[in-house]
Amino acid sequence: MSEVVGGDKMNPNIGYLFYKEYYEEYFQKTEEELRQYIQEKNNQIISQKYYLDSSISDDEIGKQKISLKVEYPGLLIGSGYSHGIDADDEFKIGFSFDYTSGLPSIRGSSVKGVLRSAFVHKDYIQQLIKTDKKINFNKDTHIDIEKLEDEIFGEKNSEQRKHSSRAIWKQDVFYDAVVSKTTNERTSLLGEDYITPHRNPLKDPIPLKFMKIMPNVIIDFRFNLKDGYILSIPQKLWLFRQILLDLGIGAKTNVGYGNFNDNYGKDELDEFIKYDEMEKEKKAAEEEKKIIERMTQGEKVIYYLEKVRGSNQFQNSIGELSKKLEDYSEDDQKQIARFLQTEWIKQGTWVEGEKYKKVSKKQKEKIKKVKQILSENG
Amino acid sequence: MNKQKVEELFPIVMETLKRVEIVNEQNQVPKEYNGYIASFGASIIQSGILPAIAFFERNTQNTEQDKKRLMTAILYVLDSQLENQENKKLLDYVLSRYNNLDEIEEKILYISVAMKLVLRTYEQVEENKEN
Repeated sequence: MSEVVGGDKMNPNIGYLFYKEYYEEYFQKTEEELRQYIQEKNNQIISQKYYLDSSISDDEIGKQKISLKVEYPGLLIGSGYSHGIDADDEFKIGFSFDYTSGLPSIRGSSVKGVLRSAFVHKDYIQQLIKTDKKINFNKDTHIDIEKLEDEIFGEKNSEQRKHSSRAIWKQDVFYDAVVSKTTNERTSLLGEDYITPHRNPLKDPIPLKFMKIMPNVIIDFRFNLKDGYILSIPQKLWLFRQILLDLGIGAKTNVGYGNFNDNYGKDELDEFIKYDEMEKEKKAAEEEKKIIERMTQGEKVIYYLEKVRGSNQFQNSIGELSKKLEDYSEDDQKQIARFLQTEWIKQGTWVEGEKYKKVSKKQKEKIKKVKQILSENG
Repeated sequence: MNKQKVEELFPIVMETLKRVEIVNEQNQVPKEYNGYIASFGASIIQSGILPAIAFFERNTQNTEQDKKRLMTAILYVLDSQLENQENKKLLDYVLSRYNNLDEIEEKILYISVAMKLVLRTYEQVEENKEN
């Protein structure tokens, strides 16, 4: 057997084995040796297991992911790539591998394409969004599915794209889907299978051998999604998950390939969304804290008041505040006084001239105090 | 990739495409050949020169057009003397020069680029494969 290039003998680059090395010595073999040569190559490929070291990177690409488990009979991706030279027992159909790791991968463009293809069926998407409990969308709100499609996947024609107000960093990104690090190391990654086109019922069918991702392999679909006007990130994740479960991905989905287990990954996605929201709240709180630390006393007072605007607490706080203006520095007093003046003008309780006589005694005192601070004659 | 080398191949490629009847008398080309020649270069990079040629020279009864003609055209550009010999295959030609595989591969890549560019200058038509 030839020296394995691209990786080492323990963890060879499977993509390299499948494309480059597969026929390397084929043309030097005799007729008798050819079949065995091909069988050895096939066995070398399908005997590979998933090793943690062979994952693409320790860093997670993409901020969100959906993990799905491949169901029987398996998943076939990359059938459009050419493979096969009419040799006996060879794999007749191509396969998609990540170039660096050699692991099976589903191109991000394919993931995006499958998800977008579901939007052709507007009623299906409409029903999914309104009835799926996880997506949790208000049933009474009308959804413009075309706008949603543009929001997630981008506008279809160049004229629309020119006038789009969405900056490029606000657009959703679809990364390559890869074999998950959570795949059991004992699980077979790849296997062989046959299709037998039976063009003529009076003639023998011709079995065509091909390679597939085996059942029970976990695939991570990775994204960098943004909260949109119509759907939030968690809603998009649940929508994408359901579309992938319903449609499948890859080739031969009409005969069962490319499907995923309905239940796997639900709890993980729930937990991820909760954790993500907690992290967002934590980050927002930290940023708020930093902003508040940079504020003056007067700014802080006004900031906290604005937070309770519209409530009874707001009115009560203004009333109390006007009594405690002396506790603040001169600059802060002026700032707070200006705020109180503006509020009372809005409420119609800052009055002058003839109308001043009609105001209550307490309010007159408050207005006088504020005017003094603002150096107005009062 | 040297652009000048590609351009120098244009006249002989144009002539050969007509000789192998990929381009017909009305200067038309079945549209499938566009895709075939585009994928040939990628196939060489992906799998190597020998598998790529073997893939294109295999039995093509399931394809719309005959991919073997492209390989024949490349063979005749490589060695114009072979035009008078029937049933010559590009794979056999390359295997017989296995010691100079890198050099042959480079030549074939240049020819395939020239062929791809030249094919696009002709009118692309829908045409059924001849039996």
